[in-house]
Amino acid sequence: MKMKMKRLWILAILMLVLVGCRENTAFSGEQCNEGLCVKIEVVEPVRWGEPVTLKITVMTETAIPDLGVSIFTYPPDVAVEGPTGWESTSKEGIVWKGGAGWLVTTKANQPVVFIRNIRIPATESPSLVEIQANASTRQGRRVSHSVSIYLTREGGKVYYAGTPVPITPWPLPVYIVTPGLSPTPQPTFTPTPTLPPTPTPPRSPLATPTPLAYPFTSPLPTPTSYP
Amino acid sequence: MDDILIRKYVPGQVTIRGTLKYADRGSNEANALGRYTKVYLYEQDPGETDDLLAITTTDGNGFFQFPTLTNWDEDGTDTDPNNRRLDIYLVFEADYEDSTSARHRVTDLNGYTYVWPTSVLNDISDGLINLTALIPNNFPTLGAMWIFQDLRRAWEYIYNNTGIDPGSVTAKWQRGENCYPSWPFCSSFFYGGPGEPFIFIDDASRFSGDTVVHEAGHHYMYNKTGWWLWWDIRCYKHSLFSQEDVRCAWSEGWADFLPLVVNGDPCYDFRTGPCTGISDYDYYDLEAHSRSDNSQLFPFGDIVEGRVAGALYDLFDSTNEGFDSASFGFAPIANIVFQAPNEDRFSAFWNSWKASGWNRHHAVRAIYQNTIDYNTSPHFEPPLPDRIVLQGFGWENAIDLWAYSADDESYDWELDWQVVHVSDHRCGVTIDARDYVDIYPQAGWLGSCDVTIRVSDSLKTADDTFRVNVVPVRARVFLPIIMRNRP
Repeated sequence: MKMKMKRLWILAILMLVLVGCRENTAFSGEQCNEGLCVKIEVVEPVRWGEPVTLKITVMTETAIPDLGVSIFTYPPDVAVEGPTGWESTSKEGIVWKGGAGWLVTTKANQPVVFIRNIRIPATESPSLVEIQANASTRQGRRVSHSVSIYLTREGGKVYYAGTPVPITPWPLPVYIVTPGLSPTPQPTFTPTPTLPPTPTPPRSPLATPTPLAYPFTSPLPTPTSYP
Repeated sequence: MDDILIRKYVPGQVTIRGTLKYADRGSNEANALGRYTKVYLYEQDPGETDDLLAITTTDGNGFFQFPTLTNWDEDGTDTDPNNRRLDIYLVFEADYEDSTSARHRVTDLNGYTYVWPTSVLNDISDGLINLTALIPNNFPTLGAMWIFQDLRRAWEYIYNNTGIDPGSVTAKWQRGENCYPSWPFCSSFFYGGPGEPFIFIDDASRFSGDTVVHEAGHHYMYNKTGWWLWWDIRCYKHSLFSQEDVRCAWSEGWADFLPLVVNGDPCYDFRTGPCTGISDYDYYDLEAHSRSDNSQLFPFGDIVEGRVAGALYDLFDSTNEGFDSASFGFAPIANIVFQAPNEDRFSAFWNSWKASGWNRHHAVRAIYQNTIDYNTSPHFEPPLPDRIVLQGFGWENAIDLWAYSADDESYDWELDWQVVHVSDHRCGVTIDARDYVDIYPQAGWLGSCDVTIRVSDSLKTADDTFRVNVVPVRARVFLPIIMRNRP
């Protein structure tokens, strides 16, 4: 009986250790798909006119020898620094207008972190930049995670996926075009974050909403998805 | 009694026209035109319901013009007539009827069509008002305009190149939503079940015009054939180079091909593109993939959608490489896809192609270039005949090779022949430029030889052997020459 209790204690301790290991390797807030996880974070504070540092973390359930990792920005007039100076784990790194990509060899459930610096053009008017991080396998499994930075002279505010950027759609700017002159804004506009952060797409006063056919009938149709 | 001066204000006329622009996926605000978009002209009445004055649509250049209006606010109360002129604004809507049977629109997940109201222009002047409206690059619903323009471009491409109206598409998209509510997975898809068919574009894919046209491609195929591959559970996890069921590879391969031609580049891009990012991760250049690929990384055959798409693209394009010598354009492909019989796999498409009368030789080569082998071997039919040649004589055009060769995909003039073996070179056997076998044995030589000839359709070959016997002249018959006397 004493022996059995001892074994149970050892087993319990072993389980705690394993759980601890598991917690060490996990990270939160990521996007996952079929054992492929990616997360992008912005190192704050973000200051107008200064490089912005991104932290990209990837983790895979199984070891993958050539996992593709890329970041894309919108608008694409954002420069990504590198590939000189990147971590040695980043293989075959390339940069392009508004993005960068590299390959990495992952081990099962071991997060790999990459640090990238980007330069957002410093404009007088506020700018909203969305950065999407992607992890994909050669076989076509993909996952994306994005973050947005709302940048003004006063600094940048970061909005993660799932936290809508608090910009209520404003009326479109409309210009009266005078022949021979440059278009004159009527009126000028400035996108202003408004709270509460609920993006309310303008509802058509004209179109009749078309309700969906819920619930779907059995058997559940399986649509063809992306690639 | 004093004179009373009565003034009558006569309102002027105003014509409102303009152009809709938007920031495209490259953030270009100057040249992206809001083509074929519905435009509403409203008169603002604060405190009351705004008056709808007119409806029109933008044209292919994003231009719109409303009928001339009387510049007078009927609901106004200001005593100064100069303040009773129209206070107008526009509302653009992501809804357009491409034809009497086709309409494309973009809605949010609740089914509301996206609209873009403009700011108000108060007390507009009489005469011609020329406006430019812009959906700028940080506008929250800009993605809906991208998708809306993608759909029009896809419809227009098919209609302009084939005369076939592929029908309507409704796209659902909403900023920040990568998963469709109550749907079992998170990605873009086409739905053709009960209720109205639609495509869902996940938010991360709004940057990919290829993904939008891909899903529209499924929708068009469904519109024209009623075919929707919903029952294949495995197809849900497909990717460009995954091995799938032949039906999944056909359905997805067609949908992978369509964006290449509509968006004008050979890369399938998961972002804006063209061909931007890490190759074979962020985009796949389907023109570059070929039989030279590592088949462990990029499997071969018609169970791979990327191979089907690449084959369709090589049938279409005029850039020829490797075995690809085809340049058929879009119409022969789309005519088969959209018209009966409804193919459910690429081999069925190939059967329809053969039945359509279009050239098979170049087509099968384009398909072969993409690792799909539908080519049959050429053959000799009937077998090559033996030939007897008299010693000291030759035989020009001894065998017409066209008469003894056949191939299911190639015409005679598309085949090629060569002498691959002669048991005795003194036989003097050659093939001339017109594909005849000529036999000119060495002078004075007697004997026989076996000659092997190979026919090739450029992908496969077949051999046949015939015998040449050079025999002595055993006897001669001399015929008298009878000459006519000349007068």
